[in-house]
Amino acid sequence: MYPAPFAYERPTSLGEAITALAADDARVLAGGHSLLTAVKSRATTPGTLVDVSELPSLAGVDRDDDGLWIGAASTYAALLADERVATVVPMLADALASIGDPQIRNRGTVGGNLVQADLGADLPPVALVADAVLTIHDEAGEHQREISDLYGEEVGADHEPAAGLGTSALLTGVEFPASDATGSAYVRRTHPATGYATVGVAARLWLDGDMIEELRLGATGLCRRPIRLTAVESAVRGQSIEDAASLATAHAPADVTSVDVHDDPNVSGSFRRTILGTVTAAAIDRASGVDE
Amino acid sequence: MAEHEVELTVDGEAASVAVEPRTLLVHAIRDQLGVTAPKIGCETGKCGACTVTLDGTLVKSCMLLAVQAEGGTVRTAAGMADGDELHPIQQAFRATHGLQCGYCTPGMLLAAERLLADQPNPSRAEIRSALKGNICRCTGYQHIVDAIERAAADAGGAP
Repeated sequence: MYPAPFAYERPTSLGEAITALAADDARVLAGGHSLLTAVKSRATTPGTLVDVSELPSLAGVDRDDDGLWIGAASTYAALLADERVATVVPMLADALASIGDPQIRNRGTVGGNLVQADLGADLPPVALVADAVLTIHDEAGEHQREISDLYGEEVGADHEPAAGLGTSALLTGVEFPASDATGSAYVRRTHPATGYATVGVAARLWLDGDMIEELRLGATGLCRRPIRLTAVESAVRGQSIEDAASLATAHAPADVTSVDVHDDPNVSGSFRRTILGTVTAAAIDRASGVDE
Repeated sequence: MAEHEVELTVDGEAASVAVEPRTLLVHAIRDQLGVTAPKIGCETGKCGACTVTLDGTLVKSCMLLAVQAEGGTVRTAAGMADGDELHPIQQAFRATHGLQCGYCTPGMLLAAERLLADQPNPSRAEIRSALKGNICRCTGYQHIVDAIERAAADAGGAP
């Protein structure tokens, strides 16, 4: 496969990167594991790839009382090797471990996963449930955005980055705020052909004994943006953890009645709708056993 | 598009290649440097036939641009043997019939080497997990897993 020609730039500072991204047809290259596949098939034909993978401002992990900050160019493997990730945000560690295979986890990045938001990407629902805060740099400087801004009603066309970001903006880091939840988890059913999630659900749970005080759920794989499962959340709130599985399977269909669920030759939309409840129940069950 | 001069070391040999930005690392290694151990399979990042290590990290060389490997050290399966003396993992693959057509083998060998460096005594489940990014369409994996178990045992791991 020979991609259409493009220029390549490797800026050495954030300022240089922002300048390079101001070009109309420039795209950010980090791990490249979503972008290069689309570039090779010519599904997308950028004029310039701006390689930010080694910019220091996008690297590293920092933990303080407010939460966990993750540099956007951190690879999945680097985060899985950092025990602070599983300690502070267990559902994030679950999601990272479920991505692809060792080679993909060695190159793919958190920023790319969130911004590209491929169908069935594992990190967007986790970030949504965690109310992650994005640090974004553009020509106007640095600003913070809520993760829900990134995934508005639509994420954008296939192979294009999330529409909420702006074309010349660069995601530099993601903050996962500290939580007082009892536990969290992410569970997915893997798509047999793509290796992404057919359906994946992130759950964060607040328990008082056996009673569910609060529950936040995010799902991926249904359409090209993560969605909150608010019908299940409200059905389960105040109920016993023992009843969570049956309530999740009963109420999950209500969360996708108005969603145009993705259909493909391997997995039909109705199958995705059917398994949403059981994957949700599994995520709640796992979250109840994983301390946050 | 302007070509970029990329300096890298492949299997211990320093090399310099002039590449277009769109040149994939696997093409630079095979077509320009003549090291044909990494194979071109799916070119979509699924099959792992093009697996190499870049600065010690296991990667699929069709999923990187050659320009991204600037200054890097690449190891391919061609660098594993010491002259005519096969690497112990290669010997184990040979002894257990861990290959049939051989197309996936260069990637399997490097994935196995990486696994055994991190985990000298892996379970069969751990071996299969480490091979998730490498597809074999001949063997059904049984003999590949046998080979890696044997290589671990030969290197002093149990059993």
